[in-house]
Formats: sequence, C-alpha cells, structure tokens
Amino acid sequence: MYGFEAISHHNGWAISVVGILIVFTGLVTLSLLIRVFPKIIARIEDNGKPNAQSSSPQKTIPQSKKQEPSIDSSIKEAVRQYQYLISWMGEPFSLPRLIELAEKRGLVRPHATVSQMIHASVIQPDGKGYFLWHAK
Amino acid sequence: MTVEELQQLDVFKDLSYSEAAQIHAISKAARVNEGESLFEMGNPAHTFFVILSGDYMIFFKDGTAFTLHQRGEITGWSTVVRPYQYTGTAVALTEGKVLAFDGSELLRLVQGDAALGDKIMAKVYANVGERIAFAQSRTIENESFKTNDISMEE
Repeated sequence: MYGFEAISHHNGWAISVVGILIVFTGLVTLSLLIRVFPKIIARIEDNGKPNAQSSSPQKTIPQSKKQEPSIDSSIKEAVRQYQYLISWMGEPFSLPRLIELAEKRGLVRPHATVSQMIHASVIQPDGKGYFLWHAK
Repeated sequence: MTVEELQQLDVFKDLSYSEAAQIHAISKAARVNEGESLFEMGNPAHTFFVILSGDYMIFFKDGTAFTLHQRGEITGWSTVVRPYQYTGTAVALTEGKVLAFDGSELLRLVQGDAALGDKIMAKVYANVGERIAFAQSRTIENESFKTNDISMEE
C-alpha cells in the first residue's frame, strides 16, 4: 500500500488537520500574547502598583485620560525614564537631585526635559520645596 | 528692550517714565543657555535678574527648590537685601532671556532716590515675600545644623 491510500489507511488526513490546527492555535495565542505584552509592562511600570490598578479599573481610565493630553508624545519615553529614577529616589523628591541623577545616567537634556514635565504637570511642587510625581 | 517695555514688567510697573529710564540705563539683556547658572549659592550677590523668557530653577543646599516660568519674575534679590549674598543657586532649565542689573548700580539708584527705591523695594518684597520666608526657614535650619555641629565639636 502506497501514496494516498496509505495516508488514508493510517488516519493521515485527520492527523494532518489536527497538526495544522495545533500549530495555528499556538501561533494565534503567541501573537495575542505579544500584542498585550507592552500593555502589561506599562501597567506594571505605572507607579509600580499593578494590583491597585487592576483592582480598580474604573479609576485607571480617568487618570490616563488626565495625563494623555498633557504629555507631549516626544517626552513620553523620557517620562518613563524619569519615573524610574523618581521611584528609586522616593517621594517627595529633590528637583536638583533628579537633574543630577539624570545627568549621571546620561539622559538627554535633563534640564529641558524636567521643565517640559513641570509644564505638563507630570512633576508638581509640594509647596515645601520638594516635588511630587503627578498630582496625588 | 525699550523703556516702555521695561515699564510693562510687573516689578517696574509703578515707575514713571524718567524713573524707568534710569533703571533702563543700567539694565543689560542677556541670553541664557539651557543648564547655565545665573548665580551660585554663597557667592556675593552682584547681579539682580528679571526674567524675560525661559524656565529657571532656584535651589538650595538642602535640595529644596522652586521654579520660575513667568515673564517679569525676579531672582537674585539678595543683591538688594543684606547680607548681599546669594542664598541659592539659579539654573536655566531652558534657554531664555533675562534682564540683568548690576547690584551696586541698582543699590545706588534705590538708595539715592527714595521714591524710586520705595517703589522697587515694595515690588521686590511683594514678589519674593514667600521666597524670603522660604530662604529664612532654610537659613534657620542650616544654622541650627551648624550650632549642633559646633556643640558636638565642643
């Protein structure tokens, strides 16, 4: 027994279909995971409080709506970098110390970036000479 | 900058044309680059600045700071207030333009013309009232630290 006859005899067609389905299901799952991966990372990085946000999704939406229009797209990446520095420094933080750290880390134009973030209210004074990340 | 433009700045708003002309004569417009220092803490206060454009940060030894963004805001007021020594450091956050006044010439004008002096000093104190209190609180804290250090050394 050879050829198509042998394939049919040993359930080759069914096995092929199952194989194709398994591969496609895997690829679709993988692509979906890759698609949501940046969102998951962004949520984890956002204030380092993924649990608080996931538990109150309704609060997350207005907060992001508040920030989005004020943050220039050109400083979005800088915002992420500075957020990391500030989370390391703790709040309230010293503005000159933040600029000093940014310079040491080799971030581009720290003075102008900090100024942009103040204008966008990403960084706000606490009234005592120190600064806070976002309005709290 | 013309005398008329100078009169539009809040700190000089109440000056007559002739008074503003005297102030204008000792003013120098200067460009400031991003990251450039206008003055440094502890140095003798030689220059008084009025902001024309740009953003600036004034910071102190303990890491506290405030920022200036508005045209007409003033900094370097230690030039006309004893002990004539800068209490903080001013850095430009963006490039901008300032109007610089030589401290001794400004003092000469302020002390030589009582009416002019009153008008300028009233504006200076009105503008920097909060900052003076802020700076004084910093000085008191620093002095208490020094006192503690001295008593510990003793």
